[in-house]
Amino acid sequence: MRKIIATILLGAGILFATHPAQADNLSGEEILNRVKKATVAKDRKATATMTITDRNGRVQTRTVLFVTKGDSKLMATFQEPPDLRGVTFMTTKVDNMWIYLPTQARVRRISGSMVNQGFGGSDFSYKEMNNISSVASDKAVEKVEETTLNNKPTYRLTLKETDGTLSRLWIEKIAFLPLVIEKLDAKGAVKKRIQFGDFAQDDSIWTPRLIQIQDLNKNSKTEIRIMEFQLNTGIKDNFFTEANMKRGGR
Amino acid sequence: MLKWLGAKVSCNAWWVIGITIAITLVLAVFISRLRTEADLTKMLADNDPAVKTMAVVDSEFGGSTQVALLVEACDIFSPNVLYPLDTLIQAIKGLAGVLDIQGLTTLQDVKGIGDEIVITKIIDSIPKDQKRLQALRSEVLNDKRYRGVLVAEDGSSALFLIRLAPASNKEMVVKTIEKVVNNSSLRKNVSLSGSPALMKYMRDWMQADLKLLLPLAILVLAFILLISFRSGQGFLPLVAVLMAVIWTLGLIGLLGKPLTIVMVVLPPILVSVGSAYGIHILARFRQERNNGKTSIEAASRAVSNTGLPVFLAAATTMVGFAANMVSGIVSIRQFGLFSAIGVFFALVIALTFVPAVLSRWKIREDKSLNSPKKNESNRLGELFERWGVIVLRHRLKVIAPALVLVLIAGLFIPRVRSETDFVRYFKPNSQPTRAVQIIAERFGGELQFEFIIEGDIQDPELLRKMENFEKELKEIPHITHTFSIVDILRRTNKAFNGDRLEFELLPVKREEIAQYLLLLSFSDSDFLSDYVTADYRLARITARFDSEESQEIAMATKRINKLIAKHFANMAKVSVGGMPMAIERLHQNIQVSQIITLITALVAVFGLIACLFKSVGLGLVALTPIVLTLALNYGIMGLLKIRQDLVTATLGSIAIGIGIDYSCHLLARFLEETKNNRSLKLEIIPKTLTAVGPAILTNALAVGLGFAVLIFSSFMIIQTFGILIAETMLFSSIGALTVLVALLSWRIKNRR
Repeated sequence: MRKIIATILLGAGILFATHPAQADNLSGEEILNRVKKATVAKDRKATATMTITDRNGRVQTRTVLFVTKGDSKLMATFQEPPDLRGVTFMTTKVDNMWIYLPTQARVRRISGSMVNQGFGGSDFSYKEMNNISSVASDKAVEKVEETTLNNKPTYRLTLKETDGTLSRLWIEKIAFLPLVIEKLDAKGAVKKRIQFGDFAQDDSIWTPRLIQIQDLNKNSKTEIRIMEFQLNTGIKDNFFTEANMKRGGR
Repeated sequence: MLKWLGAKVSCNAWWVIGITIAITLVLAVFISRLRTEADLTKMLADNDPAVKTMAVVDSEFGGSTQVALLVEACDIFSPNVLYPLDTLIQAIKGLAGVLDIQGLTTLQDVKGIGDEIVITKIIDSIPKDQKRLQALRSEVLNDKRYRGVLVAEDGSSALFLIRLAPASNKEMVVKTIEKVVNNSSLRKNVSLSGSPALMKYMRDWMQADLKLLLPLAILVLAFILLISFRSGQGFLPLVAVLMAVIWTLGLIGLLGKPLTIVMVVLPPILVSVGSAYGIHILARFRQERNNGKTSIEAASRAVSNTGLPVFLAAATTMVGFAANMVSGIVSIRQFGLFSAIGVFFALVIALTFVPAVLSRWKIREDKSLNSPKKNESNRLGELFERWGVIVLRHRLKVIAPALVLVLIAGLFIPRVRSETDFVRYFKPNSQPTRAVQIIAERFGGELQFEFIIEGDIQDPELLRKMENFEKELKEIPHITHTFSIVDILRRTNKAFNGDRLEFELLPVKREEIAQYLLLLSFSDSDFLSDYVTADYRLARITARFDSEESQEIAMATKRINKLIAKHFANMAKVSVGGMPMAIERLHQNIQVSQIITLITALVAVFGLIACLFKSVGLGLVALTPIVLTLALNYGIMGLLKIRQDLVTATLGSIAIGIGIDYSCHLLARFLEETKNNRSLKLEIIPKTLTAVGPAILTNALAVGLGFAVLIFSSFMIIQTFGILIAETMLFSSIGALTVLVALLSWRIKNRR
């Protein structure tokens, strides 16, 4: 889930005021700073449809209301299918996660191996979310290249993860839009690919309304399509409480 | 035709020799491509229900093929064991082709601690001090979910189930696991089992068998040929049949077909059976040389005069072997095809290469024809002549004991049972057998039934049915543990409610189920995806079975099918798979195949003989010795409780195919003598026996001893097969030389 937030934040918070002529002389860190500035909105509300397709083509579709603040606070409330309506997941920082099940009318903190695994059966993991976050913060840039992707001039940054593995990030040169992230395994093969598309602008912030992630090892994919979103609505920190979880994040 | 062939071969001998050697060299190249295959499931057809279900388990649930790793120690919870064990398991987990490992140090569980839901390993971190280790020991051994499932009740052994990726090369993965184990300090404490490991051992032993049994069969045949012919010529049939073996194995390699455990017996069988054709040609050649013919004339006449019975013998053998092609078991079908082709090759080489070489054989060698061997051969012929006279006088006394024996044998035939328990393939004290027994005794077995439930898995009613089904499954003898999404949901409900035992129940509402499933989907996806698909349309139930016996699996399967009908009728579609089911399907197939192949072989051989001799009566008479042989063979199997298995399932048709040769040779010569001695009817039988009796005896000895080398196999089933087939050769040759002769003498008498 954090990954979703991060992905949305990353795509949504891009500043596009950078002058193209200056960009050519930017270092990797400077490019990431531009992206960082661009990716962080104060808060965000988005209703999205998440479509998970497993290796056998079996599909699950869920509609979720995401409420986020900063780069770590999230409340996700399931709206569809009806059996899951009202189930709410909340995280305030790494390893701090709760779930509310309406049928049990109880909130439970969840921990253990869950922390590093996928959200709701999707291909997004919390760890990946952290990695994506750090694309715009403390990730070590190994290499900066100028290239094209789908005929668009881009920077291709090779980033070193904290676990030593590499990832590649394509950033569109004009508006600093992240287009593709590829996660590499220890042997340098692509294990996951995240693509951003259908960008929309609001309050000077770009939001990718379509995010696709492919797990090339599991041969599964998850697609998030944002149907509507609001930015900088003034959500307070005390919104992220157990009581609000029970109210469905409204 | 045969006359023409004999003449052509003799005249163009060097061409024939050259071409035969060239083909042999070309096909020999492809022998290096041969690969062995020990996977039992591959012996079933792809459309077999058990195979189809396992394919669903592989595609939808990540696979069901598991290597069982058994660790034995004084105390598994001792730091000297637990630490290196954890290191070993982690090393195996990182290997290519290993999907996951279920065991003490790896298995996840849902726990409720206060207001927290924790999905974590059973042993999240190994305690460092003895006191905490002991606490862990008692915690694990007091939990019924782990005791006798992951750890033996006394804590002296642990079981890890290593799941392999469906697309992996399982043999290679097992080899790599073995390497990792051998590099571990626990190498003396660890044994591998489970179908991939057993199949790897089977494959290793098959390769060892192939290297041992063929040379042994060659040695035995060489010895028999040496004492029979006492001349360099005697080795010619051996050379010819080795060429046939090279052709056959080369063809199998060229076509990319695997050598299965059934096919392991093919080279020794070909050596034993195929040599007969060359022996008959050689024997006739020597007779012709004795009669003063030149080498070229003798070779030509050997083909024209012996060619027909040799062809007939080969044709009947081919038909007998090819009857296995109607079997439902892929490996038996392949054996039927390639053994028939092998016999055909042996025939072609015997009718071309052998006379070609003989036609160019130097005169010096032929001096052996006038050696004392000739006198010995004559003495044997005289003995058979006397036997012929006796049979003519006492035909009833010859037939009656055979009939009595068959009647007695008939009483035991219904006791013959089939068995596909592949652990029985190994010797009783071998490492694989021991590991299987320990796992069955301490952990409820390593075989696993797989059930695929197709329906709305979030429906509480269906889940309730699954729960009841599992409950009743456990009442079936030998089913020890079951597991499914029902168990996961019960544990989750308990965990969500503070781990209170009274909440270890299946949720009653659909929403509850859906929400728990969503909660679980936040965890390691394998935890859930091993037992239910992402769209909740398919669920998987596993049931461990602690016996490998086909009969017990068959009984369990019957009860399982009743339970499926009882619980899921009109509710969900259920299919059954897993290794026990594959064994059961093989078991059923063996029973059916055995009957079908026997009938097919008998009818085909009868038809062939009746057509060639243009007499239905002679066709029936020719079958008599082999029918008696079969009756005796199955009677012995029933009496000694020898089970029919994958290899012995081919025994009947092989016995028909080979055993009928003796009848054919005898019949052909009998008809020849009848034609030549119209006025001296009483001389027909003695002359027939004088002419072919020694050859039949030599051949039966060669074939019987050739098969007897199979007792040196690493596999029990091949050892048994070797003894049984040697015994059928003995019976069918004796039957031809006694009962068949008596019946033919009757025919002469009645025609007077």
